[in-house]
Amino acid sequence: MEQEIPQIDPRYLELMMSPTNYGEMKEYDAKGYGKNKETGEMVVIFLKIDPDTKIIEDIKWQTNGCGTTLVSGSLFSQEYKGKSLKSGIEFTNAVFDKIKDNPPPDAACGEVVARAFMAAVEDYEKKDGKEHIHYVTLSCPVPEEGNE
Amino acid sequence: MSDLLRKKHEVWLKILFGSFALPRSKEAELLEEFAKIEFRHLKWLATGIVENGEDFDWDRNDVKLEFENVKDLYASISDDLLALELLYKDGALFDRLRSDEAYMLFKLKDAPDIKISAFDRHLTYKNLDKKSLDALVLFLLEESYKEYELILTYTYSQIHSNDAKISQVFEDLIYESFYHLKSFALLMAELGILSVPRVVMKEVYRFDDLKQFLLDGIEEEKAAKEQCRILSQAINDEELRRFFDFINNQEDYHIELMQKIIDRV
Repeated sequence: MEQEIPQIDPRYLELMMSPTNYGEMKEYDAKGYGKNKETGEMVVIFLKIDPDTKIIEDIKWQTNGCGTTLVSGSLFSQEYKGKSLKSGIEFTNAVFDKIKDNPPPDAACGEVVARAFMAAVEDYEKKDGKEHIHYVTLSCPVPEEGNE
Repeated sequence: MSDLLRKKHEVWLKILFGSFALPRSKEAELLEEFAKIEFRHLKWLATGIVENGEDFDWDRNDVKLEFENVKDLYASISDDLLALELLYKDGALFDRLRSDEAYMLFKLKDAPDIKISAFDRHLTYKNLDKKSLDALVLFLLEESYKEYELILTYTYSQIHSNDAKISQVFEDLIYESFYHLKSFALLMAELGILSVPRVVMKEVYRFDDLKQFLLDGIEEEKAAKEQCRILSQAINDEELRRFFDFINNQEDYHIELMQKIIDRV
């Protein structure tokens, strides 16, 4: 069977080359990690949250992941920024529901970003000074030698 | 010192990717040599920080490079070099840095009248069909970042290593990744999608367990080999196929090199 090569949407090409909201935040209110044990892929999300309104004033994120993760991180971070924490959680839960129907690599790359956001929410709610890591549950098939 | 290290890192990348953006020429070669010098500066500065009992990171600002001609590129590099000079202190290392960059500034005064097409997204390469082109673009975007990540990770590990043999193996791996990065970046420039890779997160290169890092690295090399093989089969161009098979076969020896370090840990 021939390996499926995804077609590139020009908008996604730009996000892969220059992901939105990408980077580190020095002074943040919450930080969370999403990790994929199978592939070693990880995402870290930093949030700056207004203490009164609970609006996500700023978001930064970083990853060692693939192009699909870069596109997911860019689009999700645009969705989170400027919204309330509650809206962010609702959006993320909707993502968990939707991505189950996506092709496995796309699903796992979207999930790792969503898991990082939920880990950051946990960090914000617990404020226990610990590192919060949520792991991907969907499978991202790693190409194996000779397995086309 | 960390501010200087960040600025140095940005200048190194601007000169390196600037050299890849130029059509192959003596100007491109000169810029690439300047980039190698800047990388040595960066290593010396980082080593000095570690020798003082502190640590460093590879954080930096984004490096935007979308210049349309060599004159603008040279002017931007020159501005950055002049700004760096304000951060230098006294001593032998800083004397060397000043001297190198004074020469670079002198050479960058004469900008050839050359247009740059490496950033214009024209997305054509010989007669490649759309499917081959998409496969190539995805591979280049992901693997150019990966090679940059490896250069930083191996350099960070090398600077923190006290074992001469391990350090030598890291040096070999760094050379190899530089070659791969250059090869991929030149193809990206031909497609009009050249860009400086994104910042590498600290969690990638600051690891607690060298052995585990290398074991994971071997798995990544195997995955990279497979990506090369898949790409080689997906691309309808003999020259590119041969190139990706060649890169694929080089990854085999990387695994051997990493195994050598594991044996010494």
